[in-house]
Amino acid sequence: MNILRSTSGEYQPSEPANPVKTIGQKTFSIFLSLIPWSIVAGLLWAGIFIKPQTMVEVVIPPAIEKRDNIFGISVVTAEKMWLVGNYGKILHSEDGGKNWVRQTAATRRHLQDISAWNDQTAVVVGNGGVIFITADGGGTWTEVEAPKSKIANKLIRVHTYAGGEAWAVGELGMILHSEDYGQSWTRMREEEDVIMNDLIKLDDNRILVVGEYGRLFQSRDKGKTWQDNYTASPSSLTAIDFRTPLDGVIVGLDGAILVTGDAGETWSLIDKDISGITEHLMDVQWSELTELWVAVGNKGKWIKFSGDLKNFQAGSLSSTDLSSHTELAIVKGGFITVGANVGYMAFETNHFTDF
Amino acid sequence: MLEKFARLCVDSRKIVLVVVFLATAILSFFAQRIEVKTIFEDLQPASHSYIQVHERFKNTFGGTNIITFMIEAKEGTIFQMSVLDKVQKITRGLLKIDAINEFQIYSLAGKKLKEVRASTEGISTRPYMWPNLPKSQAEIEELKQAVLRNPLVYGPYVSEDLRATLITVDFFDDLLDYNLAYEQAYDLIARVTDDSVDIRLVGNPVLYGWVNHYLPETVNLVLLALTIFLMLLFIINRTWRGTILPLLSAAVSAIWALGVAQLCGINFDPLVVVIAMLITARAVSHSVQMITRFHEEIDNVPEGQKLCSITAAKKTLQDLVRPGLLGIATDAGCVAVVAISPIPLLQKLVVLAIVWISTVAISSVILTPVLLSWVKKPKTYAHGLNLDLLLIRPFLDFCVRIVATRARYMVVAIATVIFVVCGVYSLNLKVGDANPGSPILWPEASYNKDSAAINEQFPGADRMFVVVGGDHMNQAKDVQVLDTMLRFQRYMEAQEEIGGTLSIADILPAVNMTLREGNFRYSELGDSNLVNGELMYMFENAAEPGDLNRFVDVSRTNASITLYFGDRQGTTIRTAIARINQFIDENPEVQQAKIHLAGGVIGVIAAVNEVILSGQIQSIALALFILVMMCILVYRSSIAGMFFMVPVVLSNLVTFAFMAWQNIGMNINTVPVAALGIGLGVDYALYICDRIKSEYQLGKEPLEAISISLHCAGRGVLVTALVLIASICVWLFSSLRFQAEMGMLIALWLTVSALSALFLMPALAYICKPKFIFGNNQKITQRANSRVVGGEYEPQH
Repeated sequence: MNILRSTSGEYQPSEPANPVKTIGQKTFSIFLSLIPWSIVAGLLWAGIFIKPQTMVEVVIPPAIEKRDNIFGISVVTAEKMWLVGNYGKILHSEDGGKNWVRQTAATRRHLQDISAWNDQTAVVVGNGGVIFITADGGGTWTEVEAPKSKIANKLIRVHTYAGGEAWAVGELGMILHSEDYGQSWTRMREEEDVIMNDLIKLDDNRILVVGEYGRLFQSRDKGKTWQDNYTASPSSLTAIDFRTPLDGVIVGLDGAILVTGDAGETWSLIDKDISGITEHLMDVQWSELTELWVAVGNKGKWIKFSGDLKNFQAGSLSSTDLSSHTELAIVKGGFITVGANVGYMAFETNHFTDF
Repeated sequence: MLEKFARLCVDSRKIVLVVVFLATAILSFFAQRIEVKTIFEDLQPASHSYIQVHERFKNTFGGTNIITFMIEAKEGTIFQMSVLDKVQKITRGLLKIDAINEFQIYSLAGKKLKEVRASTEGISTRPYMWPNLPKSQAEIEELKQAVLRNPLVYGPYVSEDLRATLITVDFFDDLLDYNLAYEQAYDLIARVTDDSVDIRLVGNPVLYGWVNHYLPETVNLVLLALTIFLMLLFIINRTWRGTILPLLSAAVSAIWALGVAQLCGINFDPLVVVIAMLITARAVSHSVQMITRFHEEIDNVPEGQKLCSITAAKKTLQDLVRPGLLGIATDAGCVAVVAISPIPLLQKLVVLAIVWISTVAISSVILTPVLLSWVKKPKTYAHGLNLDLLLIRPFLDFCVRIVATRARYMVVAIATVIFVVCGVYSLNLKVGDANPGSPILWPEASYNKDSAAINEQFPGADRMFVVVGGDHMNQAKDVQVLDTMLRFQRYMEAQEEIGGTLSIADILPAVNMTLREGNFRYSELGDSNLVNGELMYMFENAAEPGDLNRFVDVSRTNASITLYFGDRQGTTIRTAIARINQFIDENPEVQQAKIHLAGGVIGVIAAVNEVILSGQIQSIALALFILVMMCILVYRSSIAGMFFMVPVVLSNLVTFAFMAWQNIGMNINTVPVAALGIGLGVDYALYICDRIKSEYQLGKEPLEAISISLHCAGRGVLVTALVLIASICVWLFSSLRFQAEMGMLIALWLTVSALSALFLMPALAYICKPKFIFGNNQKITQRANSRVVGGEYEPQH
């Protein structure tokens, strides 16, 4: 390249610039002058089209989510158990509730209860009168046809008995019966505007059903005819259980506890001052191991009392956990309860542990 | 033409001076009336769809100016009279705060948080402790049970361990004055607080109140920076004119800019004071270039020549007007492109910055030489410490030696390495806030501590709402719509940083359960639109009109889902938005209802974050475009454009890499600095290269031309860089972390620009010998010749 030269302050015009460019040089200089434009264009392109990328991590929610409501539980053995709850959720555990595996039923309806004949066959009932059965431990859940009302169809509880027998109850006086492991169902009572909350089969012929406003329905002919009684409780009754063929307990809203010693012929209401509970009770069970009745219900309350209806002890699962619970299942020396949360309480310590 | 203009300016110097003086006097009147405040709404990119949703629903579903008090019992729970009393006092005190929206006060002692219970007539609602506090221990226990029963209160408004409770309140945006709200809120706390409680306070008005709180400190820092700046200039330049004149030009341009801004109705955000420093830095560096050159020229004028100062001033102006104006025009042009950003704050800032930068053309490029023309040739210096000899000249000699030896290749290699390393590293730059808490304040600032404490105890103090709805009335009653809302909430809560969500779909199951005798098996939505409509009606009938408004509008067309965020980090928000979009992709429309993004503070920040990165890259692209166009205009060469891109791109990359390294996110606060910084680095290189060019045209050898340029223009670069970096360092001690970080960024910016102008550009020029500098054009040669022959004096280098 030529440069200007100066000699003693005198300037000499230099030779012409750019003598003769070869094609290569020309191409190179065109290439050079294109660079800035391509940088600008590239950046503009990037500015307009490139957006910050976000890798959306797949968050696998826990089996029992914070928002989940679990309504039903069925314990087959101390290890094997099922839970059912909102949005068609069915969970199965083989290790006493440490780990839960989600099983799928083709529904988004809330499932209210589950009962198992054994670790392979079980039946689930829920909102809209849906019934699902499994014969392979929950690998597949199949929806089965069942009689429905035109008005309301929520099924609330289901119980299974030997020989493939099952009973389910629900809204509009619904009492359903099956004798073939839940494959087919028969409506056992005509429609009536009363919610049936729970049922127990006492022997081959006697069935007891508890329902709204303290009502108790009895059948002595395997459900063909029903006797309708009002108990001493004005509050709705929610659950019934017997520890012997003669001794049974019914619990209900507002802390109602009814007891019988004559196989359910007569029921007497326990005074709330004695029981010490006024909150809703939703389920009751007899614990053979500790020889205690235990009931759970709203606002995290529990109550336990002895078979001879003494020693009533009421308490709260925790001082700040006022979650409502719908069912419980006796497991070893304590119980698992389900509802707004799921956890285990040992009778000895009265300590509740959230699953 | 530029030469004629230069001569004209110096010839009619008195007129110039009078005009400048008058304009400054008038504008200073307006400048002192400029409003110093932050307007959060200015940050909202109005055209963004999130902002449109936000603006439409903010008055009912929650705005950006919600403040949150947390009252924490030091011992025990909040359920003791002394604590509850304070909750009530604060709640009542809120009504005395200006611009408060009294219909949006949520507190245990307020009217809006209610207990829903069943009664013989259906359901009834009851405020927890309004109008009166509980009177006995039994009533306190009853209150506690009522709180524990309500998941809409226990969790969101009372912490799980019962040790703290929240009070939240919104403001009427258009009436809100951050400073006043900040002062009144802290006053209220001061009146109420004692040994039994800790009261914490967060929210945008409080945050910006803190910024204003530090305004006096900011002013002190500016003054300190100015003092350091003057002292250093005086020490280095050793003359009063070398000290006063740069100050004068900085002051004049600042007055003009602020005056014009006030006339345009633009407020001055205290957060952008660093920008002001940056532009002032340019004013000073132009002025110092003028003075340095003037010294050189006046030394060249033979002793005894009449009017030697005028001649030298004329020559200075004549020679420097091109690089000076080019630098200013490039700066202004590069800043102007930032206006494509949809963020009003940036647009306003651009106007301010352009005016400011343009005034530098008058205050530094013209005013300084004009004033210099009155200055006598200096005979002595003001003090004996000659840093020129001790420091500056040796350093500049070193620069020259680098270019002259093979080390120049080393410089280019190092620059390339820096370029690549910073380029790669800057990919880690985070968009949005990079840390929890506000990046404006230091982590140990009480605001950030308060924010951390609240976010630990509660689902999250910062909210975003999405709107579910469409064009049809009663959509919000639809079973499927409500069910989708619940599924959405469940889906979003799986993200760890989202502490919780709330919508009408959470309330209806509770109402339903209450109506069904409190049977938990009925804690579910109604199974038909009719039932859901009834549930809403029942709730509203039992409550007060308007109680449902924060969940659903009156026509039941649109419902809100509020998401509570534990932090405002860019990644948190981006993940949330991506997850929302994923949900929308899977559920595009339910019964003609759609999910619309996004309002509340987090919605607004999400919108901002979405526009700033692409905006920044587009701005850089357009800034480079302007640079290339300027170079083509002035040097008739697009190669020149590429040449001057080097320092601009380098300083941007280094700054980005530094931000990534220091975990400074590219957020709404940093983006103005980063955006305006794009173009503000090129003028050092312009002065140096322009001087090389003119010396070369005067017939110097390339190396000699470079040496002369480095010793004159390079001295200006070095002096301004040193002085400015030293004075900017005072920002490191700012109580506002943001200002400290931005100070660091600007110091870095100046360092990179200065170093690349002193080492890299001469080395590149010498290695590549680009034609626009070392052009060998006949015309130029002739002109150079004629200038020398017909000139007024001969250069004596």
